[in-house]
Amino acid sequence: MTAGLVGLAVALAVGNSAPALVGTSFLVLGIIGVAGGQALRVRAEFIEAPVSMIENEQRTVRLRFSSDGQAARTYARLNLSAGLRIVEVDGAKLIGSQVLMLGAVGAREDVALTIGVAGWGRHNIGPIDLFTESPLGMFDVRRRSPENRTWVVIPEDVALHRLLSPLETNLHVGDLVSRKRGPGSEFADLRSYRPGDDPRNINWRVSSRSGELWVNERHPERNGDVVLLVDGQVESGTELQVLVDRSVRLGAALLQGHAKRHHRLGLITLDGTCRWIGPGIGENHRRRLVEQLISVIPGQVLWEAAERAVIRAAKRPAMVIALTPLLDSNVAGVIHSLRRSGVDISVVEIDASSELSPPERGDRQLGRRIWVMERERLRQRLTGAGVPVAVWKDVDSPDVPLSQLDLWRSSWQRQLG
Amino acid sequence: MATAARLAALLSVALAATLILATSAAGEGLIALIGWVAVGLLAAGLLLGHRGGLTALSVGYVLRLGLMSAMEAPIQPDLWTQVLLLTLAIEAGSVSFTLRLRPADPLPVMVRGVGTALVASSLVRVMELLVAGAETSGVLVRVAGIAALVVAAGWVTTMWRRSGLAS
Repeated sequence: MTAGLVGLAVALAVGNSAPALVGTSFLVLGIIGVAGGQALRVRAEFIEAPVSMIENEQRTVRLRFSSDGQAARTYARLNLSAGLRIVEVDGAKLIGSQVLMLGAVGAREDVALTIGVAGWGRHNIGPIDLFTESPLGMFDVRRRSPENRTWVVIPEDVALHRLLSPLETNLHVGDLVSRKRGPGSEFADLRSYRPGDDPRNINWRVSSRSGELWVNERHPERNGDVVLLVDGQVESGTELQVLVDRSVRLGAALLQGHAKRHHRLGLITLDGTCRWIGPGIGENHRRRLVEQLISVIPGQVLWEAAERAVIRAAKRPAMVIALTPLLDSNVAGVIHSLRRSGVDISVVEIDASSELSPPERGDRQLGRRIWVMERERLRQRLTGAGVPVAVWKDVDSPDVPLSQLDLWRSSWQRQLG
Repeated sequence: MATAARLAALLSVALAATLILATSAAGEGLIALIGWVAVGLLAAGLLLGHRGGLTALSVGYVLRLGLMSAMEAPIQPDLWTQVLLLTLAIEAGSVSFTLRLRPADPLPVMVRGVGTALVASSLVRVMELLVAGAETSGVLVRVAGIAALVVAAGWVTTMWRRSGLAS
């Protein structure tokens, strides 16, 4: 436009038609472009989106684009977080990895996206940036649709064949055989009849042989409290970050496994902050646990406050399973304190040595050997205090450390009688 | 997308330089200077992400054309060929900005650019044929020209406001 007007002015000044011809052609093009129609604003909204997903799953998201008139070609940048990818699009053309091109948008255009997710955590889609061209493509308008969706992506399900059973039970009905006596189906012992005993509990065979009344005592079926202590205290941005990933994956599998056994579940996470959720039951509670679990990131906790919080959150009769690389001696200290206060605690040590590159120089080799010996001593101190510790190596299935802990706890129970 | 934008920017500068080189033989000194300054401003605009570079090229070209006319230098090659090169340079620059600023399908954007360039050069050619041999000096022509300028400016402003782009 500017060049067109300048062309006309120059032509008048020099009295020659050439600049006027060029200027006029520019003006005509500009006028055609503007007169062709304006670029309408387009809105976008989610009409179907999942709330949660499982890692490596594919789900459908439906988007509705609408405009007050017939908008021309529209581009929608979806702003997907890392880990999300568009697998298939129905109703639009995919440009690059996260831009949709819609031919024209009328009152209502629905687009179905199949979205795949890699990696657990929180993933989000949106806000959506919309760019609509004018009909002749000379101008465009931009609009940011504020809607967005955040999904909780749960780690892929790891089937655990063996789970630890709490030594103590609570008062809620469940699958565990309580050590206490009470109404139940598991036979515990015989005792002589006392007035008030239920006649249905009389053991007639024993009573007829002994000549006096004997009743069966039974163990009630109860559930237990299981509290996971997930330690994400590793240096961020290093090769040790993978330890947090392994802890979270095992934590998710344990939560799922124990939930199936109707145990009350609690969670303590140690990363940049210490957060905890007390034992509870129900779908909403499990959702809170998973959301907290997947928000664990590598970081260092402030121990002055965290130690008190851990001891308050992991109380008897809960069974505490600590998932930790044991890189921070404070964690070992708090585990020790919990054991001393009578809490049933077991440790799955996430093996850090396999994640470290082998030392090259002699002094580094010596340093590594000292570090390995210190860790071995730490482990021995814990086991000496009655805390079962099983090392989970990266090549092993998660059942391996759980089986080791289960064996340790069984023999310990036998020793205790 | 970034690569395509860079390629389009390079193409734009190359076309603009070709336009100046193709017509520089016709003029020396000031004419060449205006041409190269316009190309320099285009390159700077593309580099710094300022759309003004495109306007600078087109205005510089028109000023240069006016100067050539005033100095009665021959306009070689044909005007429509020059306009074709100029519009292609501007459209390539515009494609570069579009690809940098927002998502776009490169193919339709480029097709539209080439189409615009062809329409512009065709318009110039048709108008050349229409005004061939016509007297373009004198008071009447100047009055008509100023009237056309005012009407064009008014028309552009009106359409701009009506389209909602002014806001």
